[in-house]
Amino acid sequence: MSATLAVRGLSVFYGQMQALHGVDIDVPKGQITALLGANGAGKTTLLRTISGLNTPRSGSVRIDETELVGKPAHEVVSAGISQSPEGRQVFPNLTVRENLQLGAWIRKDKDGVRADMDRVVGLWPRLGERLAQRAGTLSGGEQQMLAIGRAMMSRPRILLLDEPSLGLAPVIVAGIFETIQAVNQEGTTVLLVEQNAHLALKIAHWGYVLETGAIQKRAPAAELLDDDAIRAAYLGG
Amino acid sequence: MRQGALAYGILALLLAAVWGIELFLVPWTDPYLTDIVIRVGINLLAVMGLALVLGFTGQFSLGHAGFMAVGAYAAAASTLYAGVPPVGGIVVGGLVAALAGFGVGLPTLRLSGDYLAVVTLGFNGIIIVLIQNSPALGGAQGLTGLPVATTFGLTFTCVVLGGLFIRNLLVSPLGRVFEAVRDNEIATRSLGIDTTRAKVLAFVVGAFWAGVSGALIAYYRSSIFPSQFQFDRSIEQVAMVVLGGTGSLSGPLIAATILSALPEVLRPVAQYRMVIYSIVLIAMMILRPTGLLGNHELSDVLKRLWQKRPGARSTAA
Amino acid sequence: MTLLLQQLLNGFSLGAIYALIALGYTMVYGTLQLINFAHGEVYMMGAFAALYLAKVSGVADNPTIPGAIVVMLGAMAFCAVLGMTIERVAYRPLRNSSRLNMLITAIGVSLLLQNLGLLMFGALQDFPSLLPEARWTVSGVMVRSNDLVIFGVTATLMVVLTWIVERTQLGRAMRAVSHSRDAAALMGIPADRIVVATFAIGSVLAGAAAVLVAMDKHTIRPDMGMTFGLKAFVAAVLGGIGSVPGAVAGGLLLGLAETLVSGYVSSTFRDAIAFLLLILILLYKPSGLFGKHVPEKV
Repeated sequence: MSATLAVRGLSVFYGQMQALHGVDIDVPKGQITALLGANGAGKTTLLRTISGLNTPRSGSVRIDETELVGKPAHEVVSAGISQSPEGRQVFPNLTVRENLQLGAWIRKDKDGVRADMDRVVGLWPRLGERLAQRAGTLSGGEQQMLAIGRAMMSRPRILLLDEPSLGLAPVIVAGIFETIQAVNQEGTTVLLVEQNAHLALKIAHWGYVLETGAIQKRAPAAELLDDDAIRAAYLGG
Repeated sequence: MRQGALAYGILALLLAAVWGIELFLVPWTDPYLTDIVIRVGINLLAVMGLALVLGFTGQFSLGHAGFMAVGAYAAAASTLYAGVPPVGGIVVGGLVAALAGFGVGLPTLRLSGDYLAVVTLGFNGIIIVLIQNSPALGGAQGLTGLPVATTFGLTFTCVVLGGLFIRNLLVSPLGRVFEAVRDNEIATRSLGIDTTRAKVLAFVVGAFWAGVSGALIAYYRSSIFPSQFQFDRSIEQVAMVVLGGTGSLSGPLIAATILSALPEVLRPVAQYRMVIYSIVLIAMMILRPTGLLGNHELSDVLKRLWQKRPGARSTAA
Repeated sequence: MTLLLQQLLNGFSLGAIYALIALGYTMVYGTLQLINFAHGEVYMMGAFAALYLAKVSGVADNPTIPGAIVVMLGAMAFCAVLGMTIERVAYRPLRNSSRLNMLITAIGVSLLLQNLGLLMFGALQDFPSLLPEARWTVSGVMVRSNDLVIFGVTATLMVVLTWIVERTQLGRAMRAVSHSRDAAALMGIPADRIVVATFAIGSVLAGAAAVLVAMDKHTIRPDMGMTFGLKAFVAAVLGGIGSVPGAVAGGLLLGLAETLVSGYVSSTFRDAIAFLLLILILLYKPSGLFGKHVPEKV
């Protein structure tokens, strides 16, 4: 169920502009790794590149021993990486059930898919009540739950989450983070991108700080929580 | 030297050259050759308008021949029914076609470019149907009895005026707006520029010169027929612009010259003409989507060949 | 009253055909934001494929229901292969270039097929009856067996299509890809294969429409897809481009409008109706009758 993700020397360009400068990241098996950074630091670019939506100019992305660079995005999912993208990106005209069914696109085991759908509904009963509703009619929090649940439907070995707290009320965010932790404890490796550093570090084992496309710091999450410089920059003092 | 004076100097020089040729060369030239040259000139006028619309502004008009039809029939009607002399008829043809361009362009150009392709294509078809069903315009049998006035001199006077007009438009600040609309319309709009107005303007100017081109056809053989302005003529003009280079004025004009003269040379393969055009269009889009000259002008290319080093003008678009 | 009923019947019959072709435009537009100008020519080629099949199989000389079904299925299969080939050869290399370039390519493919058709088949050919034909007069209205065949085949195909789009994983993926190719790729959905499937399904419907029209009109021409295809595209825009029920509604509406105008006003303006409707809808409701968004995506 779980795997290690290793990013080495990843450089990504948008035209002439370099968005990532030789980024190295390790996401250890079974743990939650938090990636912190300001807007525009390159967090989303990193996740998009891991998922194969962007092509790096150089560097490698490995899940266990399998190289992912060069694989099209849809094959990265088969390799065991699933992403809940920035801005949630649920399919608004499809129902909640259909969104979840598409999350299981790569799978052929109907019974397993049904069981996993029950599992997602068990985590978020509110989705269960709205299975036949179009995803576009859900609230922001519900859409975020759906986006994460949908990403879980492929039974990923590594789950990438891009800003799950974005634009949501604190109560809802707390619930979502609890669920992320629960999913991790069931054995899924998680790479969590967040601007809300405090929340992210609280559930994470490791933390990275990304600034203008380069890793500035890597440390155990607890250590980053106590780091004065990090507190000043990302935790509001 | 001042820009304005230079431009008038060039204009005077070119017109003098055109009329010099008309007076001293044409009378001693094989009429068959003159005929080809005049027909090339008429195509040049239509194509330079389309180069502005399609090449520079990025709006896919598929009914340019429809505007030629409007110009041709407006000119012919003004002469037959109101006694307007040919030179006035040419102006009438251009203006009426420009008006038609405004009517077609205004509702359509607000939307994404795809709709323009369909509407202009439909416009081309409707115009032909309307003319064919209009007894006053001669129906399918066409209009006859027009005065013959389209000479080498008149045609190329229009070509020179049209060419300089469009060139000046392109080097003006408005020209930058046209290209910005083509390259990224949303970004251009976010700068507070009224992109619809720019597109409509380009479209109206393009239609005007298509109308002039049609009027010249009306006064060339003393008769016109709806079948001269069918859809395949519009396609041919699109092929010329795409082939010559989107974002170039001289490129499409070169392509128009070659492609208008080619059928005369290659009579035996005339039936394959449209097949060849379509293959060339597809291959061009896949292999070299910017056309032969890309966004360069002939003068850039010559300059670069002369200097034998690259970078005469930036290719970044 | 009888005349009106007759016009309505004819209008629905024509509209059903428009709807079948409009579906191909709307589905491809939904996934690629491309007006597939060549779709009308796929339809035309389907008619000539059916003619060839009817001659070779002997159905042309001995019209039977199974024979007609074989010819129709053959034409549909041929169109599917043709549609997928066009996508692979002409459109896929341009997946990342500008929409203008894709549009020009689509026009190029359309012209190529039309002119190849002209070279290969000549200006027009007769099309045989694939089925024994009959006509009845029901309280003054003439009902032809061909109308019933058109309604039956169209309704069947609509049901199958709706089932695919609404109830299968492929249909869900098609809707997902048309919303966002990136988001779909994150589900592991190979967008290119979904696009191919979209072309195949749209072309199959065009193939069926071609056989229905050919059986009805008894002549087929290399330029039959040009105007007819464009009108079907207009029908798709009327209903709201990208919307499957919209394409059906738009097709029926256009069919009715055309027959009513040629019945009560003048048949010469029949071909102008579609484009007048298009300009009106672009002016007043650019998203179409069933559309949700203004059709402006860049």
